Amino acid sequence: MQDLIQVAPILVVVLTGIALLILDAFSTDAPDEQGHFHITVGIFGLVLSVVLCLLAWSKTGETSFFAGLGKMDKYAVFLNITFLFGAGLTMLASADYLAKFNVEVGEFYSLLLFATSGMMVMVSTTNMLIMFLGLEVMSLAFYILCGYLRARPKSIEASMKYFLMGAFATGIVFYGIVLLYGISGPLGKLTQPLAKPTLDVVVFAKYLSGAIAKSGDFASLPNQSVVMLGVALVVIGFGFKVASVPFHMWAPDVYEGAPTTITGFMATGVKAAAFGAFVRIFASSMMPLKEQWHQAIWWMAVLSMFGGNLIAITQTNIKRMMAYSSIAHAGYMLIGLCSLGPDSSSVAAILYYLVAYSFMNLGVFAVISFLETKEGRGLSLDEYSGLGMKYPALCAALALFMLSLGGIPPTAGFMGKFYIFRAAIISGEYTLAGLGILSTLISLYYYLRVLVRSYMDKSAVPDDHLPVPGTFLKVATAVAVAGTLWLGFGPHVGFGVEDIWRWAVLSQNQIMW
Amino acid sequence: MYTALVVSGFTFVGSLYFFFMFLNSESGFQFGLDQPLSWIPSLGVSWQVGLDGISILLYVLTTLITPLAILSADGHIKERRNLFFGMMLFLETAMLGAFISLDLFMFYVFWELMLIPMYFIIGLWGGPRRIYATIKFFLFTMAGSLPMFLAILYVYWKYKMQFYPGGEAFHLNWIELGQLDLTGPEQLYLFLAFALGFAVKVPMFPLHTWLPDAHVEAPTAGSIILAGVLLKMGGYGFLRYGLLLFPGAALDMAPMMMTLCVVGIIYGALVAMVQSDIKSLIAYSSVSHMAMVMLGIFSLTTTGIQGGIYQMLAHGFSTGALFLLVGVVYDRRHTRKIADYGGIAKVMPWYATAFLVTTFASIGLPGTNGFIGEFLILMGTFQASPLIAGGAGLGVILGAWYMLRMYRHVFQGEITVEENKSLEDMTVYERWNVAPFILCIFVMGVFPQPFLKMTESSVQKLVGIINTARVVVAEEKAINKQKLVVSDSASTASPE
Repeated sequence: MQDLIQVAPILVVVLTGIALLILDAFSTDAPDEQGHFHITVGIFGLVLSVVLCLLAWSKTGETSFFAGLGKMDKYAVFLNITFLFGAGLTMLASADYLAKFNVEVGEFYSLLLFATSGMMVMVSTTNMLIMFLGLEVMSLAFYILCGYLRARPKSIEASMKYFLMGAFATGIVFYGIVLLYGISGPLGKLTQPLAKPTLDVVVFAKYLSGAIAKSGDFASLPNQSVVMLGVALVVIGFGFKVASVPFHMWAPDVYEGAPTTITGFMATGVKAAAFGAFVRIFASSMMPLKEQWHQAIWWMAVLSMFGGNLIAITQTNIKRMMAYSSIAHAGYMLIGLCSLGPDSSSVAAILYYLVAYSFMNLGVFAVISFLETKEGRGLSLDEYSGLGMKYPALCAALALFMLSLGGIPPTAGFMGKFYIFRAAIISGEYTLAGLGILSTLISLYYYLRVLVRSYMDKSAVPDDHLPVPGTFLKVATAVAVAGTLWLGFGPHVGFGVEDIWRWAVLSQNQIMW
Repeated sequence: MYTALVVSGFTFVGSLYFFFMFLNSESGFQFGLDQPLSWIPSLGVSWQVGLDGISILLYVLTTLITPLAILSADGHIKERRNLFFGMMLFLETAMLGAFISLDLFMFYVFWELMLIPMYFIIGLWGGPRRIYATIKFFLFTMAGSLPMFLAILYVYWKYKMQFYPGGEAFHLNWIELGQLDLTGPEQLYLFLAFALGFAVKVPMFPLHTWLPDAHVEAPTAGSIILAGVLLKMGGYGFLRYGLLLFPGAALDMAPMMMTLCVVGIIYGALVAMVQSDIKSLIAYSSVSHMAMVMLGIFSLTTTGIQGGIYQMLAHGFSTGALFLLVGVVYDRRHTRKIADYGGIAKVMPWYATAFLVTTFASIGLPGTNGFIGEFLILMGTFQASPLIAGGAGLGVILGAWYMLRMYRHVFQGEITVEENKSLEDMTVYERWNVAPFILCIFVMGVFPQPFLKMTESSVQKLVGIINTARVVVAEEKAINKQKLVVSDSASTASPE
């Protein structure tokens, strides 16, 4: 029973998904009404799950469940709430989008919820195998969602590409996990073998540091190359999932082809979940090896920031541009991973950044999804000319999101960068911070270009017969705007910036080695 | 438009209260909150405000120039008027916020916030090359301020480590900030990072290239604010943060900065001399004048710094007025080329008079406020380095040359272009718009004492801090020399 209470937030999401599938079978409504009904039910489930998460947050005492396989600690709860918000925004934004393409909605929202549950599983555990399980649940749902617009070849292509790449990535992660598992047992022949090999990152951490303490330093461990290989494979696998250079090749094509709202959720939810698991493994158990992996992550961060931002400048399709921007943002978060240390609060910085990024990026994709037409037009930057006159409110929101992505105060993106760069400064990563700043500057060019197009260029297309945004989309955009602003200057009364940051720090303290 | 005017007018009236209630003898901050309102206490970020001798005049300058700029915009902003006036008020908020913030983080937030409305003002209502100009403006300023951002993070971290290592909630405190323990290289790098941000804004040679573009493309009201207040932000930043936090590094860098300033003064003047566009001529004259301001600040003497502050105000009024006046003929003829005018004093006597007065103020003729500022700056600089003062004096002469040359070509002689014969003189509305500028030019030119008194005690305190640092640096050098002598003698002694 205790276990069920712990797992309840995840369970609620899964059950809502199943309920939607069943309800869909009995529903006789017209497609768009059906969509609204599904969303209402789905949002209800998500809200319930958030409430359960908050209860889990305030609970003290034992957090692990199912004999230590899962762990609903503060870190998990913090990220889970982020996913739930992301899923909610995606659902709301999808209503208009799916109606526009006239596709069946039944499975869409269920799959979205299943993907969310996979993300939640991924971060609510210290066991690497369960993380992998969550990763697979999430990825499978996304493979289908990417190809949801069957009539569109690009969508199918995206699905196929994501599936192939994702299969490789998960295979690589899996092999890394297996190696780490093997090395921790008697067969591993490290100095201090455990009786039973372990998949648990916390146990593994104790084991590894014990072995290192005994033999003096890591390099003199027998079989240290196997540990290195395991870590490297895990890094590569997660590098794929978070879309960081040089493992980013799939991202632009998949982001472009997938349904726009799903792209938004992929850029935020999948990234947050992958980072959640990634950071948990590294912060909990890989600290003794920081010297070994630091260089690799450093280069990944720098390459992602510069690669992402420089290539984004040349893009003319806004979805592709946002894909490269998303790669760059993975780079910023990798700065946080690089600055992992006892007093840099870098994990909390990553968490804050993930929340901030979720709001602003989902907001952008909600707007993009509205402007996209059924024929697949409305995605080129040229078609954004004169947007400010056609949709003043929507375009103002888009401008806010763009400025936030560029890190201009007082927005969420600025606070996120503030915490990330602060962590870098504290842990002495001055070069990395400097490069990060430089790439931020580069990124401003293309974020501003969206503003230039939408406000300062005259529209080429006559603006009659403009579609009107639906209520759900308006709500989604409004929530994203509120989140972006609140995370940027939420005052100290109520639940402002300081309190969210404090929550992030509390979450971090539970997983730091 | 009327809403914007009323709001900014009220702000001005409110700021007059601060102006008249300001205690000259007080060197610290006034009108602040009793207790800082904490925002992110775990990082020491809080909302603390206050005005001192350095900021009070700039604060009033901002509140005065904004309504005047709004007035001037009424005629020529045709499209999206509400957005424009909203942006003007947004800009004023950000500028005032930056002047009153006493917290580094909040200062940075407002500093960046200024970019957004200015970006739109230039980009939406500007001239033909507005998009190029506005992006250049944005990226230049960001390139300067992002290193400053890192430096601010570093200062916060150092501050926390030194005074509140236990992780308790805190807020920045200016007394403790002054005692921040930084090593020499740390000070130097932090100072350079801050200096980069401020130098772009001022703008100092060789980071000035965004300014002529921004000015030429900006609408008149945007130019007035840009020249009148935004450029002062850089000088203010140097005074408030650059010198106060890193006096040692400022001392080390002062000769280099002063050299750059002199180069800027002369370079700006020479480039201004060959401009064919009136607005870009004034823009380059701004480069020259702001370099003069920076020269006063980096003379690191009370006279020089006071002169710098005074010159910032003077430049705000004279250049603001010049841009306003250029806007007046631009509205009529839609050209700003000097060659398109000539002899228009005959048809526009009011206009010619107003332009002459502001030109004189810009040159620094006695009786106008420009004279007081330049005189004090040159005096302060002379104490620091006579050679550099000589170079700056040359710049002043060049300044008179290009301004008067432009005046002669535009206003005097025969009317050469047919269209100019029917030019209409300034309307009553326009006359009243420019009148406050001219009034300020004369009042500040004839009665400088009250204004200087306001800045005096704060500046003296600042110079006191710098002089203390000077002594410390000198002592350290002496000790190092001694060590060197000792080790020398030890090394010569050892072979024996």
